[in-house]
Amino acid sequence: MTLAEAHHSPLEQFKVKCLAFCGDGGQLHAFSFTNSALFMLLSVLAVTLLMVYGMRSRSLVPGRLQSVAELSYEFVANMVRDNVGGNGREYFPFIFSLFMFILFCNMLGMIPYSFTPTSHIIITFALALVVFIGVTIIAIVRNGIHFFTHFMPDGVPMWLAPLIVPIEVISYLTRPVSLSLRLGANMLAGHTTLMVFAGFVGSMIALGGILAVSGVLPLIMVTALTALEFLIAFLQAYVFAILSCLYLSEAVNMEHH
Amino acid sequence: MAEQEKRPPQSAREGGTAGSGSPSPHPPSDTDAEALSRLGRDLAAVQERQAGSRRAAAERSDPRSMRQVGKAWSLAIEMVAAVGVCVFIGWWVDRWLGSAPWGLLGFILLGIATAMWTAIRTAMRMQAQQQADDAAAAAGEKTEGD
Repeated sequence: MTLAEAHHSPLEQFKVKCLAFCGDGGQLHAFSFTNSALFMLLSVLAVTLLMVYGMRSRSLVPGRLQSVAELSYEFVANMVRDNVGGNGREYFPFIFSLFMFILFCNMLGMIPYSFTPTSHIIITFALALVVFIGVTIIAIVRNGIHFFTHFMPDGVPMWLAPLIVPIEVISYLTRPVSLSLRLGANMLAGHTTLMVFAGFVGSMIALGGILAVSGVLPLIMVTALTALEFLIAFLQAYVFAILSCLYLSEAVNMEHH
Repeated sequence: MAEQEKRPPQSAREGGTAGSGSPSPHPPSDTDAEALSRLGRDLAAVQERQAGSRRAAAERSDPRSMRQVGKAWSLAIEMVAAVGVCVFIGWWVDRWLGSAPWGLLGFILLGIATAMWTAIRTAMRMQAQQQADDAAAAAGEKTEGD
């Protein structure tokens, strides 16, 4: 095998492949089971396993798994309490599911040869749309017509309204896009960078002779980047959840503004 | 890191032995005071150095610098997203009303205005947050020092 054959494009890892319910030539259709679906399913299973199996003993002094389960519960519970307040308690299950799902998708994606569903904008956009539509409905149900004063900030003179209102409406509509882009772009960029540097290791070793030793340099870089990627995998799940909390807080605590 | 942590106590001990070793042939009263003051000075220097290295380590591992990168990213993404959404709406309006290219042009202008407005507002909010954090950190340090 020549090197060119061994070399995959750094974007190869993002390819959606059909695993089951495929068309004749293995092409995708609406209800195909893809590798993306597989990893989302795995992530849901892992979260369920962690929470159900981890909490099975319900001991006063938690074991290892129970500690992790309790820790993640408290982490999200504190996040909701700090950012939404008492009114947000009923939305905790949603934020918790969202955070754990994204976190596990990101973390499972760190396993070599696995697939990262959250690196696809369409997945993150769907998640962001759920948050956006849900928060908008909650805001309208809770505040009624008062919700629309959101688009006209206090203290703005009336003659500015024709300018401010469209800007605020667009700014509001931008939320799901920026929310999904932030997560998707981060995962995509991080994994591509990792793959590019990993590719350098191979091509430098292929130079042969004394130059092959230089392959150590990108290897060090890959190691450092992997650590950074783990941080980003957590951070982006956190950012997604905390922004959802902030949007929810605006919807729930509107009368206080 | 571990080495740095280990070194200061060692140098403190060295200072101590030098101080207690030299005064033995002399009358104890004033040399003891001298040694004690020298020990005090050494200790202060060591403490200063330790605090410095701890501060540097904290700065290095503080996720704050990481968070700054995240903030810069989110500012950029918000600006791009506003223009992107407006391009999409403009294109859609043009297709719907057959008003090309005016819908697209108008909405792009609106998008740029929104991007600026959002970025300025987010930046101001970030700055307020930062100042509050700094004030809280300064207050925390003061109480810690006391």
